[in-house]
Amino acid sequence: MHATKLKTDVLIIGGGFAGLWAARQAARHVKDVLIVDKGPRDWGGLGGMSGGDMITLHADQDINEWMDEIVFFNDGLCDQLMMLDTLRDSLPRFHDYEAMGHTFTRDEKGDYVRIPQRGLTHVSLTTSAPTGKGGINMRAALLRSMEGCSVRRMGNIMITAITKDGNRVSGAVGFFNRSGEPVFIEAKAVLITAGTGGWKASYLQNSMASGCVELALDAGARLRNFEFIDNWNVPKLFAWEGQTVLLPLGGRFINNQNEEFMAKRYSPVLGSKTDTQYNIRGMVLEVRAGRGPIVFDTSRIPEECMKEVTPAAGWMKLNNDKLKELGVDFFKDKIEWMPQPIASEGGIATDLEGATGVEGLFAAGTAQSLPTGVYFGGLSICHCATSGYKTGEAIGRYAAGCNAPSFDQDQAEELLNRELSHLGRAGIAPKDIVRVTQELMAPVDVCVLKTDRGLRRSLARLEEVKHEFLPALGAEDPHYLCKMVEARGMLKLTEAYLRSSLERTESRAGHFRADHPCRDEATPLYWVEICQNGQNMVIERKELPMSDYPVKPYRYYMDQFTFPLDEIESFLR
Amino acid sequence: MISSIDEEKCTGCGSCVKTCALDVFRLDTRNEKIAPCMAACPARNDLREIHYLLQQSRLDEALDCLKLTMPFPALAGRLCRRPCERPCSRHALDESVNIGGIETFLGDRDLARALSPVPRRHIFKAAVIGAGIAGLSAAWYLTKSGFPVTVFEAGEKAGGHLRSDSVCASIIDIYAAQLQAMGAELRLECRFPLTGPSWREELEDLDFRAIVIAAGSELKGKTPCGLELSDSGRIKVDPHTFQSSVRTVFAVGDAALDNASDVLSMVSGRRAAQAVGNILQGANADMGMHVRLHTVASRDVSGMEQRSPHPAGSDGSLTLEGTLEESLRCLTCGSRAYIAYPEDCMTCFACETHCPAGAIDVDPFKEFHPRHLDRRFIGGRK
Repeated sequence: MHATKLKTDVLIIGGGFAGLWAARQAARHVKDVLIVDKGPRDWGGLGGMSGGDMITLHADQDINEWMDEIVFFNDGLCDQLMMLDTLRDSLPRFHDYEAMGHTFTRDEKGDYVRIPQRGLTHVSLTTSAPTGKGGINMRAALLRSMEGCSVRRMGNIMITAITKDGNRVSGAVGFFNRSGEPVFIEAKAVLITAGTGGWKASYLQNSMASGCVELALDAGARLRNFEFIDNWNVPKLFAWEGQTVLLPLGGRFINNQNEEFMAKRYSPVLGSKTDTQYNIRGMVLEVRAGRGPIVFDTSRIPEECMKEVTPAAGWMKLNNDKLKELGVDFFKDKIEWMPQPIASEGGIATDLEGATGVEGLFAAGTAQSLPTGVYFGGLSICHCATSGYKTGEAIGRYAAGCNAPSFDQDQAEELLNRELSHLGRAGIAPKDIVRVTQELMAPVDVCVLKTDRGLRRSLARLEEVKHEFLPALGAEDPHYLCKMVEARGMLKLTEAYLRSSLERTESRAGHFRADHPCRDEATPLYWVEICQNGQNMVIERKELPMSDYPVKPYRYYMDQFTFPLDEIESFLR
Repeated sequence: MISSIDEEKCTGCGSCVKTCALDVFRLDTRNEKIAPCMAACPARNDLREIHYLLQQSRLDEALDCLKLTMPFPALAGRLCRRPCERPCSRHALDESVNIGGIETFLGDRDLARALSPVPRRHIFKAAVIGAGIAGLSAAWYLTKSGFPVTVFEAGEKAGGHLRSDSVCASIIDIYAAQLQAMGAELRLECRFPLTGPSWREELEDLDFRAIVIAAGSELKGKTPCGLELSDSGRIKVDPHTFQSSVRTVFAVGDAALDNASDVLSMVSGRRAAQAVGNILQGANADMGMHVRLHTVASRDVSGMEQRSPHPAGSDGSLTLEGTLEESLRCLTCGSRAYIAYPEDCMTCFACETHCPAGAIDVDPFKEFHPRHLDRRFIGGRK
């Protein structure tokens, strides 16, 4: 087959919001920026399917108050310098979005509509208008704003490996995922903005599987925060976006006794107005106690807010209309909700400008790690814009100031042939690996009230799957070859999760160990980091530079909850 | 999850294929009804299929498909007046697809291909007289079909009147070299006096069983021995097969056609090659060659999103990414979408919200996922 060879100054892997922001900025410094995405050329990543709501620190708000609250919310485990940068840059990026023609919601007085998050006082997101089309409009605005920039965008390319010139990055290899034709890309610098992905749960918005974990580890980068995942509450049978807006307005979870169990048993202060991780712990305990199923009750949302939360456009409206046709009324019926692991919150460790430890390799957006398992609605939209912008500037300057590395074609072909050699081979369907991986994650003692036993049970099964089924994976056509690489990446991601979760022998933020239900106050705060040694993951702790951080943790969000230890201990038996 | 596509409503515009991030859809491009661009193309290039292949980045296959009807796309892309672009459905929406730009890109990729010898499939030989693009076209298709072919050219180089253009001349040189690499013989500075009495016998004595005359307009008004002339003084041929009044002799390009465009010259070479193949295998020249009357697919563009063309270079050329992007503007008129990989659907509704024809139905009930609270996952099993 004819190989496609491309050459660029800055290669960006992932055409989502972070990648688009980065490309805009990098193009100010270099002649050519190339974005490749495994999805369609213009789909714009997961942000395009979001509500477009954005964490924004407005001019009348105090960054110190926000930081104090965020460190509290994260139980001390917060990359404060990166968070400070994100908050500082949020308003300029917010205004950039407006300048591109994007609309944020305003009330009758003309003020932005801000919705406080997770029962906090200060931290709030600003919503996009109209409800249901925010993400689509943001994507359109971003793409429009790039017209005339020296940015090339190509879709349906699956990148499978980063190439190196010594210790320096020299480009990447991959294939067109609808033809299987090889693609070789020479680049002075490479930016990964493809997220660390997840478990293809629920619906597309929250979770595309990604090969980013494998790419980064193989390239020599360090990963961080893989014990933290987005555990997400969703209706059991269909998709619904917007609980981060519904909960603060009065939405709540109730059990089969019609009790708002969070308020009654676990957190009289916050009730359901908290992070999903805590609601999910409550749900698990309720169902174990025989008080399931759990339903989402919207009857207490004030009438005047209903217009705001009823989908008015986009897929959310279509979804709502169809459900109504089928006799399901989201706001009137008792809809059963069930949590599931959606996406990893781990990412590639970088400095504040997105540089990894590997020369020429950068990461931004959800390929970085900012939240620690607890999450504000609208943080990703914000962080993708701020980190995309900042990293784009940095990688642009880097690439403008260096010579092209040498691209070793033999090395590149060898890396790619590992994948292409599977093409045309019958074998285990990638979707089955996806299903197995979802099952590895699903047990409650693996991802809600984690125990050493649960984590090791899944890890043992994962090793079996790796040995029994990975070598037997089939890829009858290029479509399946792409899905095969994804499925392998999901297994790697799951391994990173299990090993990191075992390493953190305490409970904090989004990580709860039933066998270590308290914070480890004796050990200084640390990140769990991962690097690769041969084919093995190496797990290491890295102390947080607390002396550089403005906020010294003194109060903890998790202390607002009283989960009964005797019921939690039942998970250990 | 994805439920169905209403075939009655689907216009084959490919919005679903172009927007699904999980790659669930494909198009069926086989249809009796051809696209409006194809109806206008003198070569009948399967533009719908070519663009669809490019939409999937199947670059090699797109080129192969083009080469079925167009032997020298690097020339055609530059020389053709692009009648295909006028009826393009996109014209009613924003701007026609840059079909010529795409062809030029594929053509330049074609020039870079290293060709290997075509295995010989036939015993009887064919001669082509004249190495202009009509003759080279005939030689290309005959060689591709496994016939031994010799091209006799009076000049020092192949190319005929196109040699006066330096870009075309260098392209012709590459194509001539490719033709030789495939196994054809090219004899330069070798003139057959076609008006002489014995040229046919000479060729027959050399064991050539069929002859394609592609000697340009130099014959005009002169009578090659034994062949009938048309009213305008060129060799009289059948309009489908380019067969002359003598069964084994064919004439293409300016030797047979009045005001032949370069593209028509190439088409005549292709058709003659097919007819030569027929007679060399004992059939009538026109076997399978009568032009079917195609109906043309409708051009409904209501509800479709506008999309401006990819900017072409100053010479009208497109880059690789420009070609792939431009191909996405093609509405693949007359094709039909189908659900190729249903198991990868994640119920995001992108296909349904983007379908301008309202043909797609997504069931709001999603795939059944393993979840924490299901009985088998909540138990804390040993």
